[in-house]
Amino acid sequence: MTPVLDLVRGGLDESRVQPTATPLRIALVGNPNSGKSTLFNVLTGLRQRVANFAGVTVERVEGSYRYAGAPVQVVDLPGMYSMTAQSPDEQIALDVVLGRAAGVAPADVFVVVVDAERLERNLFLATQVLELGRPTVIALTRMDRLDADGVELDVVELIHQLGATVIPVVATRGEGVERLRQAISRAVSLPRSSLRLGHAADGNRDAEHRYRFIASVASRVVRRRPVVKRSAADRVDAVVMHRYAGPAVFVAVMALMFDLMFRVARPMADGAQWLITALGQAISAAMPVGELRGLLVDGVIGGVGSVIVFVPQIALLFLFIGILEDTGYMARAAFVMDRWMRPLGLHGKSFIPLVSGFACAVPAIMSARTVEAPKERIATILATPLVSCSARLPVYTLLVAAFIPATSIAGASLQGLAMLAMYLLGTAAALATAALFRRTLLRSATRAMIMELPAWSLPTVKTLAGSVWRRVRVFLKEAGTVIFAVSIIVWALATHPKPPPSGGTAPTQQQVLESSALGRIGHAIEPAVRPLGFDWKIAVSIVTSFTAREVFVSTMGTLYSEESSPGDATTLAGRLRTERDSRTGAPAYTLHAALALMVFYVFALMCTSTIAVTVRETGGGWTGARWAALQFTWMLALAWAGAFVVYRGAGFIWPGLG
Amino acid sequence: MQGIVVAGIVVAAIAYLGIRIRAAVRTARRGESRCGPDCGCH
Repeated sequence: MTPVLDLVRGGLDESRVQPTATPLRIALVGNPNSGKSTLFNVLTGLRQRVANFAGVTVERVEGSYRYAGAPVQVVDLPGMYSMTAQSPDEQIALDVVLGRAAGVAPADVFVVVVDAERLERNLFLATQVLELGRPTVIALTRMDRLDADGVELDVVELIHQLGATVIPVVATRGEGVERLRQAISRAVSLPRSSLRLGHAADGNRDAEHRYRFIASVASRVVRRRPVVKRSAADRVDAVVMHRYAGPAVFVAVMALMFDLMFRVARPMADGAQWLITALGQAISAAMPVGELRGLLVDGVIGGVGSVIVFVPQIALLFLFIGILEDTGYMARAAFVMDRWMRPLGLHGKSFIPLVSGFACAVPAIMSARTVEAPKERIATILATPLVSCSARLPVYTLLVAAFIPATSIAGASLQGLAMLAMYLLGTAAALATAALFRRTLLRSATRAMIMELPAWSLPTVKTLAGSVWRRVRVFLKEAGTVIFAVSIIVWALATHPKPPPSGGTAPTQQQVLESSALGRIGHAIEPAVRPLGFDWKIAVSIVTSFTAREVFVSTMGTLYSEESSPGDATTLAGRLRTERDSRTGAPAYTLHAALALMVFYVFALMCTSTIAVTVRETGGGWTGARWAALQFTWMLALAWAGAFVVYRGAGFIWPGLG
Repeated sequence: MQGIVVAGIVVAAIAYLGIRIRAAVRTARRGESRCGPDCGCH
């Protein structure tokens, strides 16, 4: 045991590690939310997503680093509580641990990540892994929080009890990480644990025996100072997890988020708009009139520029989501919502995918792997895209800025409340959809939820900045690739073929647009959306936004840029507000139609990536394709019916408002 | 000349979108993962 203790005390040096050409393969194993991904990021320098709740990592993720000249490959695995897999994500982890994952070489060393705050529960899996008799290092995380909990932990005694290498680390601060790297590199040559507790033939006896052993270890290792009064965290929990106050707090938090998004991001968005307009004017002044100038100014700047202005709002949304996740609030919201979701046939674990859907439906659908029962999982996948993702934000913001007055009601901005209403409508539709499918195609009993609540923690600036930047980068990449390409195609279709010359006068921009391929396509499909109050321009923008929802805004941007005179600094929202029907002279877009359009986008599944991931996560091939087709058709029907009801209903209730 | 350049850009844009759509279909068919460290989609 001496070499192990040397490692813990920092007595070994790098020179004793022999560099090898073959990479050492290590697997990070541990309970959900024990800090595996945070440790993975520190070890590899990568930026795998981390958050303060269970189930963030749902698939195998690989990275690497070099230690003393030797390459080390690291596999980060989804969390599991024991060597018995209950859900697809746990199965992925178990297959790697047991060396039966297809196409994956077995790990040379297991690093069992044990949360020091939850030692007893985490040791259940740790003892099972130690019994495999493979080189194993235990990384004891969150050591920095023990003091605040009134707990002292005797690491040396733990080493003696388990007969294994135990390295205390504080991954967020990088403390103990060098020692952990050293231990990993030497694990193959260190003595292995001789722990043998298992009763393979009887699962219950095995668990009983194991917990008895863990209790005896804990009694020797853990010293608790008596806690006399309720902590501040307990008092906060009493409110945010209260049966009735909890949901009210959740809605209030969301309302505050959207209110701040409008107030704080507006000046930044205006600044971005000014820059883009100035760029368009500069290019117009520098280039002669022609096709290329039209493509650059009307196509690229008009299209891509109209989407880029939403970067500040996207950044703020992800900042707020990051704060809610990293503090531990999201996990508490899931706990509170479980009470309300169970009557609908949904498990509380489904709340995490649904909440992740506020960011993007693709990873949200993947995170449904944490839901064990297949029918509950498919219902969650079918419902998740109804939660308003960040790609809908530009559409909502454009329409809200154009048609909802910038006034306040009881101190809250009306525009922020309108945004909140869209998000609540999406969430309600997701819950109703899940309830409908759970009572029809996907009927089964709903199980009770057992969930581990993470401790409250202060998010680090680095983690928050990382998550905001990652998302902004994706948004900019999307704008620079897909939206860029679609804007060019839309511009080409909106300007060709040219109308025939009449009487020697040049055709007006309106005539060019009407006779273009896009104009003709738009007029052909307009009858399908006319009952919803939409014109042909909205119709074609809806069609092009099948590539990505933001494309709706860029298409409208290109269409209106094409219609306006060079150097016109009016924003897209301003143009929508003042647009007139060429035949009647009445406003082309009413408040009723704008509300209907927002409702259409709340419900419609306009995202090829989401369709692809639904196919894959519901079984792949034809089975997955059928579920994806059902999801798409259901959401499109809901979108059309919802927009129709809102347009006609608003016109009936407030005829003068439009 | 400008017309040829513009036509070339439009064709390139169409080809690029075609590649992206094909990649999405492959993701669905083969069960490939789009996500991983640094992917940014989550």
